[in-house]
Formats: sequence, structure tokens, C-alpha cells
Amino acid sequence: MKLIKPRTFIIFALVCISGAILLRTSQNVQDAEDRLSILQASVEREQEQIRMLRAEWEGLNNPARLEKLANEFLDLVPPSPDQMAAGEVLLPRMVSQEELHADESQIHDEQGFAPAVQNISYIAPIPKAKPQILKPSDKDIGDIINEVSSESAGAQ
Amino acid sequence: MIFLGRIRRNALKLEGEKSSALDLARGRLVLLSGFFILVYVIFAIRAFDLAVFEGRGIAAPSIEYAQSLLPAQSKKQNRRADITDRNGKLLATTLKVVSLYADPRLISNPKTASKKIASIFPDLKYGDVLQKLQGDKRFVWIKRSISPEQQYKVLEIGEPGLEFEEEFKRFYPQGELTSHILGYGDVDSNGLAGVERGFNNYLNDGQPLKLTVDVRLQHALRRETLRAMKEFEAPAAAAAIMDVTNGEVLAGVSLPDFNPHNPLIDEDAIFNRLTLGAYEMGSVFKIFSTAAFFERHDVPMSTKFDASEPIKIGRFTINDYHAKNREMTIPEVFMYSSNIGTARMAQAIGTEGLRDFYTKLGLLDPMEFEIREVAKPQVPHPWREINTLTASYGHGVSTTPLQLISGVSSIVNGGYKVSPTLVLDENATNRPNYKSESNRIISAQTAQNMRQLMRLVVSGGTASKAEVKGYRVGGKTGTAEKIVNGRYDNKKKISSFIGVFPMDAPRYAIFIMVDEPKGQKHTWGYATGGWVAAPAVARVVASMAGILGIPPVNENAPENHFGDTLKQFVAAKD
Repeated sequence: MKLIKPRTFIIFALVCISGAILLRTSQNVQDAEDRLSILQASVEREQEQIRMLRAEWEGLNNPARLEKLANEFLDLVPPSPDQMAAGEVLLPRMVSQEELHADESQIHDEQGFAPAVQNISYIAPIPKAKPQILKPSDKDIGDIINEVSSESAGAQ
Repeated sequence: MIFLGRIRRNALKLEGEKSSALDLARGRLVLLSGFFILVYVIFAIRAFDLAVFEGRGIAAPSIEYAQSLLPAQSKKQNRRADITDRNGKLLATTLKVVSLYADPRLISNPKTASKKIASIFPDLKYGDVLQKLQGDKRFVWIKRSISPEQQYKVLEIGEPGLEFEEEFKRFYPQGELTSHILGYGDVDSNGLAGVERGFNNYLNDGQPLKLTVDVRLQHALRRETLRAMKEFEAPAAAAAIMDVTNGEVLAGVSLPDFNPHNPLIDEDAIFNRLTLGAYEMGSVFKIFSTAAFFERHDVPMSTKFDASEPIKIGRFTINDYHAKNREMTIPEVFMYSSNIGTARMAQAIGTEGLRDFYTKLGLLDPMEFEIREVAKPQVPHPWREINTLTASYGHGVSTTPLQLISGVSSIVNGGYKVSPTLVLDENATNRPNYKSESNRIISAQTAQNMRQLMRLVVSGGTASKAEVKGYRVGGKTGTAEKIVNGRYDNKKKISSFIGVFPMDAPRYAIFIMVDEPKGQKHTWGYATGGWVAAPAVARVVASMAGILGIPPVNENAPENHFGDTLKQFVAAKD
């Protein structure tokens, strides 16, 4: 009896080949797992960083700090109620063509010529003087309101 | 191949000499050696594998690789969820921080290690670190909360005795701004006060929370309250803004406040005056007693009350602060804040009536609120007639500022009871319509009367300083004397103002209360609600208009004349 038959040899060869394939596969899995854990760690790190940056952003944008910086570096103050338009009264009014022409005829000069620049003050609000720029450090909305309401002097 | 050939040769020999014991032994020997050779081959392959494939990560270490090797300790622990304001602004968040510690016994070279650590952390001194590393302890903190870059540099030192621990840390980007609402927690992120305490388990389960607070309004309110407090040299103050239609707390301030990152420095600062402080509120209570009067008695505004002389009951005397010493109509009683007139109304309401009405408004019981630190209002025991009279103008009963603003909201919104709430219900359809008749506590007519009266207080009464042109502010001042050693002390006051706007269709209520303000030169020594809190409320209204984009109405708009009809009942200046 032969110790090794061809069949045995083939089986032995197959075992070797499948062993090699298994090794290679396990190698790939190992590699992939490493990559995965690295990616997971980096995703986690990015997420953590985003959280941290968001917290920092919110910290830097808190209203108290923004107000302080705006007072220090900008000539802007928060809008006071006086600066706000009351309803649609201040919006330009739509005028019909006839109205426009009717008015034009009135402002013709003696020679019957229309002026070079049309007077359109009646359809647009008259520009008011620029609001006085207030230094925020010595005057703020509160003071403005106090001035306004001091007209109706404080009873008590 | 040589190996296989030899096996075959041996096999041939074995075939020739059958049944020999020696041959059997040889065959076994061959098999055994074959087995050993196989094992060695496997070892060789594995060694190759280790050196060539798995070694790649180690050959080029990256910060990611280093971090993937760190103990994943933090994963076990749940991250405590964020708290945001109604617009999604972050109020509280949890960040992961890495802390560096050392096991001095494992440190091989303390000198080099200390030198390198000192160069990584500029705030650490070489000497201090060296002393720590030379110690005999098994554990010593080197630096808490270090950055990832610093961690990488420490890893590069390669000292086995330097180790890291990851921990979660609660962070409050808005600082002290919302400190009393949010509260604070301990190092193990357990909430000990405020929302952090009220929703401790919920937050620890990783469920984020959205509050009704708006940080912009919160800031405006805090700024103006703080200003009033400083201007009048007061030690404390409390304030709140409420949406009168649903009781949402848009801002809540208690001063002094604290840094939530380090809360336990000042016991006085962590006391939440808004919910945990019960105060005798003074004349602002006249809103409630007058409403109760209208509910019980359907009388015209012109009804007169005799306020010509103080009321004397037993050893008590009820006086007027702005005494007119004559008969007064209801609008006059309210706008001049006559204690005598209001006490006369209380007599007409009766003890039962007044107490029931206050209870219905939720002023006399501990309030239901998301923050668990709530005070129990103090109610006289037993409740005698004199208590009814004093309670009508806010003395002898104490309640919390938040209950007061809720009570006023319930009256001005048309008479529907609202309760204060701090957690935003984003799904508005879930919210029961506040205008349901089951919520009604006063009639629409009484609500309308009260709104007109409150507008009158600002347009011509004790709170003219609360006026903001175009915004129809209405309200009521309150100046209560504090009890010091069992007696009312007329030097120590609680001055407050509750403002509502726009009065013709109320939406926002603002309450500011200043504790023990001192009269100033520019206020001619006055430190009453009208001088202290009313201007502060006006400034808050002006800021709110800008922040929320609420346009004013024109001077001649009909809304601007809301409540003017009551002026016919007010006698010309006397």
C-alpha cells in the first residue's frame, strides 16, 4: 500500500492553498479592522472637535461680549424705538400717472417749462437729518428713553 | 519536493519489509518529524506576517493611531445632553477633556521628563513637576484638561509613567447669563440646581433640552436689572420676561448670579430669588385685588372710595404713600396707588373672596415649575380681616416673583390662567389652546378694565418713567417695606414694577424687582418702584423692540389712545 496516494497529495495541496488563502483573508480583515478603528477614532475626534468649536463659537458670540466689542470698535448703537418706522405711514405712496402729470403741470415755471429736476418730495419721505451718533459709553438707549419720558416728568 | 520524495522512498521500503516492528517505529518517526517541520513552517509564516503586515501601523504612528490605542473609557459613560435656548443657542454642553497624570514609580528619568513637560505646558514650572514626579505616590495629577496637541506631545516623550484619563466636563458658553435657570452640577455631572437638577436623568440619558429662554432677551433683561441694581446701590434683584399667552419664561434673572463653572463660592449668589425667594410684593398686588373687585361687583369706573383719612383697625393704621386725602374713583385709586382705597375694595370683596381669588391665580401655593427650587408662599395664619385689607395691597402675604408675573399674565391676556414654563414645546399643536373656557379665571370685561387701568398708571400715574413711545406700556409699581426683626422698616424696601406691552393686545410681561434700593441724588432720594424699576422696564421694552423687531405705532394711531377714556374719571392735578 502506498503511503501517499495521488488523492492524498491533492488534498494536502488543497489544504496548503486554502491555508494560504485563509491567511491572506485574515490578513485583509486585520488590515480593515485597523483602518476602521483608526477611522472611528478620527471620526470621534472630529466630532469632539466640532463640539468644542461650537462651544467656543457660542462663547465668543454671547451677547454680553458682542455688545462690549461693538461698543468698543463700532460707531453703531442698537436701534432705538425712535429710529423705527411706525407702520406703513413712512413708506412711499404709489401714485398714478395722472396724479404725477397733474402735479408736473403745477410746477411748470412761467415759461411753461418743466424744471430739470422733478420735485418728487410728495411721493418719497423727506430725508431727515442723520441721527446723531451717540457714543455708547456715555449714552445708551436707556438715557434716550429717559430723555423722552422726562417730558412727562416722573410723578411718584 | 525533496521532502515529499523522501517520504515516498521510505514508503517503498516499508512496502518491501512488511510487519517489521522497526519499520513501524521508523514510520512513526517520519510522521512526527513531518509534524514538527509543519509547525516550524507555520511559525515562520506567522513571523513574516507579524513583521511585514501587522507592523505597518507601528512603523508610521499617527495621532489617530495613538488615540485608537487609548483606553476607550469614556464610551462606557453616557454623554450628558446639551441644553439650548429657544433659538438653538447653546446654553450648556458636555466636552471631553483629557487629563494628564503620572505614576512616579514608573518614571524612569524624572529630570528629562519634567523638563519636557514644562516645555509643553508653559504654566507649569520645572521645579513643581520634578517634585511631583519624584514623589512616592502611585498617582499624581500633572495637568487637568489638556488639548489634543499637548497630549500628542506628551505621548512623544515616551515616558511609561505618564498616563491620560479622559473625562467629561460640563461647559456653559453663556457664562453667568443664564446661571440661575440652568443651575449647576457636581464633577460627576449630576445636576444640583435649576434645570440641570430638574432634568438630571433626562439629560444623562442623552436627551437634549430646548428652553423657552431667548438669550438676547435674557441679556437685555440682565443688563438693565444689573444697571438698576448698581444705580441704586442695591444688594440684590430679580427679574423675568413672560409671554402672557402661554406662560413661557423668555428670560429670568436673579442677581447676584454666579459662574456656573465654579458655583459654590458665594452662598448668597446661588440663591435663586426668582423662584426660591418669597417676598411681600406691595402695590403690584393691587392688580389682583382690583380685578377681584371687578369680578364681584359690576360697578362703573366712576365709583368712589373714601380715602380722606387712614383706616384704623386695632393697632394697625393703613396709610397712603401718595396721599390725596379725598374721595377717589377706581382709576384714581389704582393710578395713585392708594392703599386706603384698595383696602376699601377688599372690604367689599370680603376675606373669602380675596383669598379664593389669590389662590385661583396660584399666588398662595408653591408653584408647579420645571425648576424644583420653589418657595412656599407665606400666608397669614389665621387669616383675619386686617390680613385681607393688607393683602389687598401686597403686605402680609409673600409670594415669588415668578408667581407674580404669571398671575399678572393671566389677568392681562384676557383672563386665561397660564402657568410658568421653561421647556419649549416645539410641537405647538400639543399645547392646549390657552383660550379655552376651562382656563378662564376672570371675565373678558374685567381683563379689559385691568388693561385700561394698567395703561393709565404709565400714561399718567406712578410709572410715567416706564413709557416707551409707540409701545403702549402698561403696568403697576410696587414699593413694599421689608420686615426687619418683626417690624416693617420704612428704610428697607423692595421696589418693583410689572410692565406689560402692548397694552391694547398684550403679549409680553416684564417684571423687575430690586431689593433694598437706596435713594439717589438724581432721584431726589426716592427709591420707589416708579423710580427704580419702571425706567429699567422701559429700557428692556426698548431693547426688546429692537431685538424682536416690533414696530412702534404712530403717534396718532388709535392703539396709542388705549385707556384714555379712563382719564375722565381722574380729577385734574390737585
